[in-house]
Amino acid sequence: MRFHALKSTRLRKGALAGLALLLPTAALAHERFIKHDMKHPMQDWFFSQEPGKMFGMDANMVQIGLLVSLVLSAFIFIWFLRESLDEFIRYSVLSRLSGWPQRLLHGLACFIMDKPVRSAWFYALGEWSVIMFLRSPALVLMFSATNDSLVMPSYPLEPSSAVYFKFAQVALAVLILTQTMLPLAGALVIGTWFYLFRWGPFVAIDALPVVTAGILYAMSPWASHKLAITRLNVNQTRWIRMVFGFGFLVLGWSKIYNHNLTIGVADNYPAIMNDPLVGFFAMGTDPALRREAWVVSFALAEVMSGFMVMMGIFTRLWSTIMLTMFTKLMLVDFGWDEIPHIYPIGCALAILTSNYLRSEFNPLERIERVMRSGSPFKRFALMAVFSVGIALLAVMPMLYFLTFTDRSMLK
Amino acid sequence: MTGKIKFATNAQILAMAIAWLAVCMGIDYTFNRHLWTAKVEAAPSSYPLSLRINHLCCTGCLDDTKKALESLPWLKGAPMTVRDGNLRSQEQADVAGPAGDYGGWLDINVADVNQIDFVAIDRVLRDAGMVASQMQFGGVRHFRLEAQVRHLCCGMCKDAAERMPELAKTRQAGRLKWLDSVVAERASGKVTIHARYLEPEARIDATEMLAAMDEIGLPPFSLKVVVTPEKVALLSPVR
Repeated sequence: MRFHALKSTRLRKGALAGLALLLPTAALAHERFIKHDMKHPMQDWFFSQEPGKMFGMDANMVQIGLLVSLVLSAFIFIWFLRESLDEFIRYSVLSRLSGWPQRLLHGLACFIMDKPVRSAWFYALGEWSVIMFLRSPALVLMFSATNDSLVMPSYPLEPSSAVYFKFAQVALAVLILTQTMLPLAGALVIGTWFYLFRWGPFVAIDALPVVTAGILYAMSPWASHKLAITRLNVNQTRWIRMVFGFGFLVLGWSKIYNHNLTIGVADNYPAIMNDPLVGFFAMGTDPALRREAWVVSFALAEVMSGFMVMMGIFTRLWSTIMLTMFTKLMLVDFGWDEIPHIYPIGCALAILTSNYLRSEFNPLERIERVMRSGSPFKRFALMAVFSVGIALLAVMPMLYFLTFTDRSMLK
Repeated sequence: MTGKIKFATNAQILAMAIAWLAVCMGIDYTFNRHLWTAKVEAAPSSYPLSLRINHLCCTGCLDDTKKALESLPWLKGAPMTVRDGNLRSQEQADVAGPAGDYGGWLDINVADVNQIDFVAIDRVLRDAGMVASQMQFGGVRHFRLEAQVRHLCCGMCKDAAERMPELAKTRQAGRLKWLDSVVAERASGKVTIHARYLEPEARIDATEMLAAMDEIGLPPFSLKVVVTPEKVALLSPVR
């Protein structure tokens, strides 16, 4: 892997040496469960710098990037103005209703706008979700151990050292299931994740959702076995949300970088190419580049959702979408092979049922609050500028940067 | 009573995580030394192939076996030795009493690993009235087997072929433990069987794979060893 954008020779040499050490073993590993053999060649130039084009980027790629930025900016804009929207719902809609329809609509509005949902069943669901999120990684660790794998069934262990890692995983699973010394369990999960870098950065990126469980354990009390842990506190919610979102953001970018792997999975499971949101992002692109456009759209959809969860914008809405998507992938598209998706499902459930959701754009929200007493047009215009700027910064620079990367090491 | 609730500090978590990382790396370095060596292993001059012939009681059996095997061009002149020393002559065997075991191992050194075809070995042995109950192969760390099947007509056939690793899991006798994954291509009728990394002294038994393919109803007409780097499967140049 060579990043042309790295100008410092020493830094570049260091990065190259480190990655060269990591990549060969990763390149030889087989993805044992999800089939990913590419059926048709990709137009590799689509993902690289093209002379004579604006910013050297393919026009279809730019179009998808701008459309994703537009949708992202729309979400951010609505988020900034959600208090005005909430006011409208409360005084113009809810005031005309009564009884359960009013409660239902109010609960729904609170849910979508990441406000506390005051309802007994939601609270109970939240408690159950935390327990599920807390314990389910143990099941996957046990499953991986019985499949001669580390953390996830797709990371096979070397036969010569398998027995040690298998016993370590079982010991860790026992700590988790018995809720014993959870901070130690958290450190072991995080340490194992560090170790995954030894097998290549993509392996570690793929396993980022595991770190969310590690954070929960690490932030639990030492005497965890004596306590019923059923709620996430503000800090836990924030860190888990940010790491969860960041994981998807990075996974999205890595899908463009490793585009052959992405399309390889789609070639084997063509049904996943029919996603309406991804189809919307690829709308109007050159039909001759359908597969390439799909990869970019699919990846940027993940980047967009990951960014919003990471930054706390409509966290519940996007966590619900992710929850639905992962459940569908596990139960419908890939089946038993994707049982490790129980990790992100548990995480998404724990996040979306938390009543402590905050956004990372507090300073901008404060500006919006201050401006509420002034002209609405000015407020809307400024928030629109902020939204478009944030969305463009979140999507376009990285998309541009990726066109400079050399994928020859992946082959 | 829980007493005062104590939490781990960030430094404690980081120290424990790094300590555990060191333990993982230590295990890795100690037991997977072969993964840390940067030098490229030189290709061996020959590859060990051992056949367990359940009927190898005298030199007559051995002659028939060798003759059958040497009918394969890639085994012509290959060194073949009986593992358990000298066999009885036919005359000695005529007067010998009952024996506990009539079988024996025949060790062969194959010069060109890419020529090894286990189906061809099985066929020539059967034609000569012999059979190998095990065909052990090793000496190469990373390889795959490529089987050609005539019948791979639909997605269900393909799925059946790719589910072979599940056979290994349902059989508790340790069969196919070396198997990593299977990929089938309908258009070419090729079934690629990826083996897990093999220790230098470890061996795989190819008859396990032949039996598994029979079991799923896709008997191969060739099962070859491939050690060259894998290429991306391209079925069609058009999208």
